[in-house]
Amino acid sequence: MSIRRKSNILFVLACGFLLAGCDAFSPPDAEFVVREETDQLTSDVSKAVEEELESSFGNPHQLVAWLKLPVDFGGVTGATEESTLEGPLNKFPVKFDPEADDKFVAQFQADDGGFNFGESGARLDWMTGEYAGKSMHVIGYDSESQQLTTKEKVEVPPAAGDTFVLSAGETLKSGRALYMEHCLHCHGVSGDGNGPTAQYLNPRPRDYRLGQFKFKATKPAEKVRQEDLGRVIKYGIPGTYMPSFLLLADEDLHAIVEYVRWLSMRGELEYRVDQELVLASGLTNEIIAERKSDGDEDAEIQEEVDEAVAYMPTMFDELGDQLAESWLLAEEEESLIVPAVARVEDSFESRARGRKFFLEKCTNCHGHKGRGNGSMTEDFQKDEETGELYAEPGLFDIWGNSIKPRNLTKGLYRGGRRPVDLYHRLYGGIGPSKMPNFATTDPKILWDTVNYVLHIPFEKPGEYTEVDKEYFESKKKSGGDEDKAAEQEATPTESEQTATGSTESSDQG
Amino acid sequence: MRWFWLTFFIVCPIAAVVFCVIAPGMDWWFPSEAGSPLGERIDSLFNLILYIVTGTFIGTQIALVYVLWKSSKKDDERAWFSHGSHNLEVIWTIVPAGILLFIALYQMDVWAEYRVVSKFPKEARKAPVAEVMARQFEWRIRYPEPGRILQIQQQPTDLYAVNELIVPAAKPVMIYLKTQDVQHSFFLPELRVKQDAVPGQIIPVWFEATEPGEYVLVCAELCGWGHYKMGARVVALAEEQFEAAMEELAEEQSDDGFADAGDSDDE
Repeated sequence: MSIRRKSNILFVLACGFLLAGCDAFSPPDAEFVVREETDQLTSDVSKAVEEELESSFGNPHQLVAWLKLPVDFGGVTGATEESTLEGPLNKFPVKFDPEADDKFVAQFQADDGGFNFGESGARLDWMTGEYAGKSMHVIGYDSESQQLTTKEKVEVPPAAGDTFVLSAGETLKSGRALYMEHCLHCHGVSGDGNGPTAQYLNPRPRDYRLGQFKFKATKPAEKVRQEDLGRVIKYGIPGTYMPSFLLLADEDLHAIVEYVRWLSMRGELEYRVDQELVLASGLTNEIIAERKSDGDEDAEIQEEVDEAVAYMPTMFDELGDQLAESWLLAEEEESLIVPAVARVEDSFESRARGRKFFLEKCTNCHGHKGRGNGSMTEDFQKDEETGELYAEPGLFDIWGNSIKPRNLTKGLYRGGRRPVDLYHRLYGGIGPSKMPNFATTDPKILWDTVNYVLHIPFEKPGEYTEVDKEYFESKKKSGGDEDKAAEQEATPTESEQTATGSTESSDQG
Repeated sequence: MRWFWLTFFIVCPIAAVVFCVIAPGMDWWFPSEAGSPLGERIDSLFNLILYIVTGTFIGTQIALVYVLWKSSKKDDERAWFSHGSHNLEVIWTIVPAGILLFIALYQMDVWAEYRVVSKFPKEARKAPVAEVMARQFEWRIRYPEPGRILQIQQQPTDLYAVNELIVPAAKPVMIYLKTQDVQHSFFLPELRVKQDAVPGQIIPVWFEATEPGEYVLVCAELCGWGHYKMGARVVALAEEQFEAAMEELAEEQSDDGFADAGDSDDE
């Protein structure tokens, strides 16, 4: 009998151990990552920053739609019509915006033809007019009279033409869900490129929080467009771990793009706030400790801190306006890079001109044969932000990752392989990777270079020897001795001539 | 107690057979009717084997139940001690071997047509429609330019796509299957096509989509954390539509952003 009891106890213990490992009952809360610089600020200020961020953007579980930002938060938009009703009332005749009509029906119409707005009603946010900024809850809709019924009664009916958003935030919430499913594990909860998978990847996933993206069709100083982000998600980036999400439905793709832009705006806002508070106002723990030891008064420092905390909402507003402006500008026609001429026809002469341009401008990074082994990959470069040299030789991007210039012999074009994509890379450069832009170069020369680059994987040995000779001869005549060194380094030797860029069949573009 | 076990061992096999019979009608069976001629033959082979096995199953279960029932009766009869029967052993070795041999020989031509390159339909072998490069975690497609034959080496005129393979419908087509990194598997469930992609190898795979339409392409060899989302689509188009689609792809790929300046420089 005693043996039986022992085995029962063991059995129970075993079950206990098995179940104890189950975290499924309480997953950890997702949180937005706080920037290092924000942490370094003195505690009053950093708390104020975090609070303001929370009130303007929320947390991953409770998003806040800050309407200043040019993000499609979603929801059904519309306006009120002329109302003949008076006195305390809760019925308003409305007309939905044309695109929003279908959304309204899809979201709220029940199977029996009636409308269902859920237990507590659907939130209605007034955008303009008497009740701008206030919200109510819609509990019914009469399709005949086209009237919404709200839970709250108002004395004065809203004027005709007052606009509202019903159930705002749908697109953002859908974007969040899709982002969590598809993107989070690499790009992280905050879009900082540091999700659980990120540590195993090279190149690292994009950190959205500086508001800069590599592959865009806009002029060098402008931000990325929604369409560019959409292309990246749809077609992936060959040569990296970013896969193609071609099978996503269009609305889903749109929702993800909006969420990514929203994360980017949030990240960049925090970044700029930190820049101001650290560089302009010097309110970090380190600097304050220094000042205290130098003899500055505690009261004086506290005054500055209080000022910064009080100014925080205004600073957020101003920076938010700037961000909104720059993101909106990116969508304008004037920001798009449109080639001034049609593509120059692909011919040896065109490629020869492109080769000369390449020798002039590109070999420092991309190497004489385009293998990505130019001299800058072996020199120590200066970090523009700190003014000091990087710890290792070679090139670094703005996120601090060590990068290599593209090996053009492989035929792998990360930003797209259409001629227009390559034109965009040349004209606009790739800001984050420090690839310079050639916006002022003659567009015909840019097309020649595009033709040359597209042909590099198929180059025959010695194809451009004459062209190279011509180039260096003309340099000698016009230039000086400094070009002699470049020429000696660049003139192909016997062994190099036979081993030019090969077409590797195992690589795909 | 014995009645409980008896009922149990009778009900289970009967339920199994019943479920098998009603499964296709209840949609608990294959994803769809086979979408390719070879797929239909594979399905009929599957069904043949199923019938043979079901017959065997019913026979052996009946024997088992009988033995259980008979031997659980309480009576004074002495058990019969069999000293082994050589004839019986020969019979129940030869018969199953014969059945298996029959199955092996019967399916040989389907296997050969599917796997032996020299037996692939000639028109498919001559003009492969694309090279499908599996990659963590997507499918990269390389088509030859309309009018050219696909080469093993990349050509300047090749067209590229990702996660969408366009093929002509109602005729046999062949692809070259490669992988850029680890093992993947090219699986078209509706067309009954499955072929592992092995690093370092170029594997020809042929299939025929009977009807135009969209078919699911999934990866069937665990290749990493993204294996489950490595889905793509195969779009089978009628001949003219296929040619039009290839022309469109060629145009897109030579887009220089100038011709349609004013509207979107995208597709």
